[in-house]
Amino acid sequence: MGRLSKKSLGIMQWILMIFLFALTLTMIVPLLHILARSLSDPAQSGSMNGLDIIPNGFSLINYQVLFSNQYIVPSIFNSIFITTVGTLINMLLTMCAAYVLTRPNLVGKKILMAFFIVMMLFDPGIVPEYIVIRQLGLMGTKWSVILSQACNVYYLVIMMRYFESVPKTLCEAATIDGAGHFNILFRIMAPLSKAGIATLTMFYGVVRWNEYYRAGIYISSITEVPLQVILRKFVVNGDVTNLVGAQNLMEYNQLAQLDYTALQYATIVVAIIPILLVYPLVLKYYNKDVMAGGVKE
Amino acid sequence: MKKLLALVLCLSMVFGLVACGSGNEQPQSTQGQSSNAQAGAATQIGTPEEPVTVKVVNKDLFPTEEDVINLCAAINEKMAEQGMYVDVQFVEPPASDYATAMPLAVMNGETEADIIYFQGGDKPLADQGLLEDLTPYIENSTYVKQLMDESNVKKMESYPYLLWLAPPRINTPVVRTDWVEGLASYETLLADPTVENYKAFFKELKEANGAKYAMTIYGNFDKLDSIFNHAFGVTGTVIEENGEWIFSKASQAEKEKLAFYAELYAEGLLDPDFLTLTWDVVEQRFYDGETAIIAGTAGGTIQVYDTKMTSLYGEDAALTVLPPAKGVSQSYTSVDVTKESRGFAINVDSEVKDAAWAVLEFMASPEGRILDKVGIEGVQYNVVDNQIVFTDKFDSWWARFWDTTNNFNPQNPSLAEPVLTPAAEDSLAKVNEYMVMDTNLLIPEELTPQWDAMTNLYNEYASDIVRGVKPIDSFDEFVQKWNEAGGNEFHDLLQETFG
Amino acid sequence: MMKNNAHSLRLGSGRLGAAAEKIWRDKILYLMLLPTLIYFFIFRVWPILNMRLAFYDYKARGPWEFAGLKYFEMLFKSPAFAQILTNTVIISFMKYVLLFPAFVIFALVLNELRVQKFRKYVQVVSYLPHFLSWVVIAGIWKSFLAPSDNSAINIIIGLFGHDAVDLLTDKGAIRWVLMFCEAWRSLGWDSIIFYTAIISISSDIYEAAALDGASRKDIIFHIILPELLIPMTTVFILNLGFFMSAGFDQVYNFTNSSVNSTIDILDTYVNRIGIENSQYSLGTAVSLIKGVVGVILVYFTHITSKKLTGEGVW
Repeated sequence: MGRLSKKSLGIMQWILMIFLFALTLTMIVPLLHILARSLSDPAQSGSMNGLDIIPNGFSLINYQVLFSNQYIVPSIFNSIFITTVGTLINMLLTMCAAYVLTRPNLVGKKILMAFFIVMMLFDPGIVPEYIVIRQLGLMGTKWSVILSQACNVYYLVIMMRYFESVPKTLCEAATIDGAGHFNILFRIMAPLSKAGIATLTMFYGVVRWNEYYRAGIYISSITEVPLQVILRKFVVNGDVTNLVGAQNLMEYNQLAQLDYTALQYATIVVAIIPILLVYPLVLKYYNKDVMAGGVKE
Repeated sequence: MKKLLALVLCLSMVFGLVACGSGNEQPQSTQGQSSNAQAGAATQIGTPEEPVTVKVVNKDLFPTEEDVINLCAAINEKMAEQGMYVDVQFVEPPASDYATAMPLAVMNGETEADIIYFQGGDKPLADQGLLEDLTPYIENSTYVKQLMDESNVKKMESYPYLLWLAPPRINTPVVRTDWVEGLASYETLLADPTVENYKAFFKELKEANGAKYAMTIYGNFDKLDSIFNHAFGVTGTVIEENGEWIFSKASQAEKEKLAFYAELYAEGLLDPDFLTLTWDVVEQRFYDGETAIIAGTAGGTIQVYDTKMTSLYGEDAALTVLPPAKGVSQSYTSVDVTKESRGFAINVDSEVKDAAWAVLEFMASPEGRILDKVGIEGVQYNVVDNQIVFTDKFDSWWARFWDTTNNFNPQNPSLAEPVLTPAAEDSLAKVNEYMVMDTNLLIPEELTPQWDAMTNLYNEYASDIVRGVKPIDSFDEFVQKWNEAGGNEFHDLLQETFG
Repeated sequence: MMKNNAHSLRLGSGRLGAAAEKIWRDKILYLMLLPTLIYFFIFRVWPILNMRLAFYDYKARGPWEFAGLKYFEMLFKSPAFAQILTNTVIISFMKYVLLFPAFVIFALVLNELRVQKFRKYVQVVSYLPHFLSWVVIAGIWKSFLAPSDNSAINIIIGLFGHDAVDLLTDKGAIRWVLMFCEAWRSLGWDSIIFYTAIISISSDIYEAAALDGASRKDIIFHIILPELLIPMTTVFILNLGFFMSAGFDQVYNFTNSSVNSTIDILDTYVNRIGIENSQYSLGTAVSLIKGVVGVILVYFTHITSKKLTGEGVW
């Protein structure tokens, strides 16, 4: 753990804490404002200022409108499918590749690394990729998105750094005991890199969850696209008809006098909550005891 | 399940690779079914047993929605009564940004629709010959022709691929009626809407109602220009100055106009946040009474503002449409006639072009327009005493084809109440009253970078001059830079085109 | 690697054979790498081959037409191109170089916190802005920095007797606004990598240092920072690969006509003259330029870093 003594908190600690608290305040206030406004009574929320964090009147109308859109709920399931399956594939490919590329004396390592880095730096752009997806016959399926983003070189390199920090002696010992590569990877490397794996799973998961551009173009069908495509259209393009559903727009507009900004904020809340739930789980692995445990075995 | 998916996936990859080897798919030949549009609408279309399937794709129209299903059924039924047997089907539109995704799909042959709605991105498709030239169809039409106003005709002449029967999208300024009643300056303004009277009106309007600003705009000066451009002599994108055709943005008239805007800004009549505002905040400031005037697209947008304002503050707060300022000339923004910015196109690959056109033509006929604008009898309206009476469901109905109110005055039965609010109606009427066609040209592709640099220069100088960051004298420096950035390269082109 | 070379030297002409032998010995390893390689060949190499589009006119029907350097010329021909390039480089430099230490410092500060609950709070809160899209962030900051007297910033500086400011339309300030907002958004998220690197330092090392009576300062400078060298060089070098990108979404949402000339970057420029007109070839040409510049930057920083610190990306 390395914590020195547990006496009273020094003056430095207090300075740090006050500074960080002020810093986080600038982050949490806008977020609380978003939450508060989304929960406010639309008749009163328009006059809220950016620092108000208490709902002005209470109403769930924004969320009702959101979920009355028949496409929202299926899109959440689509998002969950793409995120879980996609992240799983990401982690499998990344861990295997990172393991292989961190083996000492691997023939052709330099060439392989150069290849991967070049792959990372050249972004073919939408049209060259579109042509390929179409020729593969993946258009209109969730697999177009899942497979076209199966591995990210940036994360691969970071995974390699985590694997490199595992003491080499452990792997050597295991090899002598006759363990195969898969065994070493999943029985020795993985448990010792829990924090790294948790971090990258989260990184990949978040990328998957936030994916909207390719999904919107490749999957296209409103019943198949993930949540972000639908929310994005609204938040970014201010496309109200799409979100509320053209059918309901005028009725709601007249009945409730919706505050569109508040409605927009409700969509942001819906999109962030799942991510908000995941991070504390990941934080559990950021614990020195977990990290140190393996090495001592 | 997953195994199966994986298997399918592998197979599709293999096939994909094979397909890739054989190169790009060849387009279907379209020669086999050359258009016989010349024969006009009288052509027999389909049979009762085998109606012709016409597929339509439009933004936000999903084939599963009840209104859409009803609309299709009604179109099929009514067209059959006229001996045209079609089966209209809406194809699901792309879920992502329509203006990006739709052209991409059409470009790559990924759409099966016969009639395609565009709101941008159609030009490259037309350049590639993917959209049908609608000229022969229009020539032989009865109803579509009737609905086209002067600007529609001009636009179709210059770009015959996109048809849009709707009022030109022109910004009209609006203000709360109860805010202007009894204002002396308002009476003066109506009698003689000169630039000076407008400014006096702005002042009194702001002070009398305790608003923070007389007018709020956002991003650029388009909305303010709609009031003042013509008064200062900025009558088109290209104007004649000292015997030469030049872009109005670099003209003396523009300089005078910007000097006037700078006065408005300096006297606190113009919302100082305008450069960084977004539309939703602007509307909010209007509803909250922080600002007195905003401008919106005539028709639809004004209707939304009007409805919301009256529901917030009662009937007295209904909106009034302000006239354009009068000076050198008097008009709102000139109507661009180079091409429609949105509208319907017919897919050149369609095998049922005549049937597709027949649908567009039918929707422009009196019967089709009632269907389009009012809805379905027994759902959106009922006929009582030979009058069309709207039900509650009418509020959520909107025109899927032709939004224009041009000549829309059904008789037998007639409308019990108008479709638009008075303010929305008035905005359209005023646009028509003052309509002036723009003098402009499509920027040639090879000059796009120059044009981009020039407009950026203008935007920067204009916003700096108005906000007093730069003095008005710097306009001359701007003109020089404008010419260096590309104005000179355009010089000959402009003289040739308009000279 | 050294051993490898010695070995192959001794065998002389048998060098290739030896490599093949090694590959065969490690065949399971290469097999493990195979899915990733297949993925890259199908979904990256193949599209990258399609990037020849940059030299062709896109044709919906039939083969593309060769256009030579037309689209590259179109880019370089703009009177504003030099300015756009300068903007891109300056903004990237501010974000990727100037801002870089902030992420490391934030990770160090987090590690120094002794109250566990407070640390967790800071971690959770600081990573949240990362999930807001730039439209929303721009909305928040625009209302905060609005020029009117009652915006938050003008109220705050008003307390100190300062006149109202308008940073969003100030050509001198806007790049700093971009950098600050980037920091605000990414501080928590981008420091995660460094933080996990710090906590994976073995506790034995700390204990040994404690026995030697090392101060916190000594520990930070002589234990933690050297350990961070590897992730720092990795992240720094990889980021440089995206130097020509500079953040389209952010600029797009923060720009206005007054400051556009100072923050107009390659991507926003292409978006204006290309994408909105479906100029696919132009977009591809820019991707190509960005890729080439990225490769050059990464290669040279890697080489330099290898010489200076012994650490690189590979």
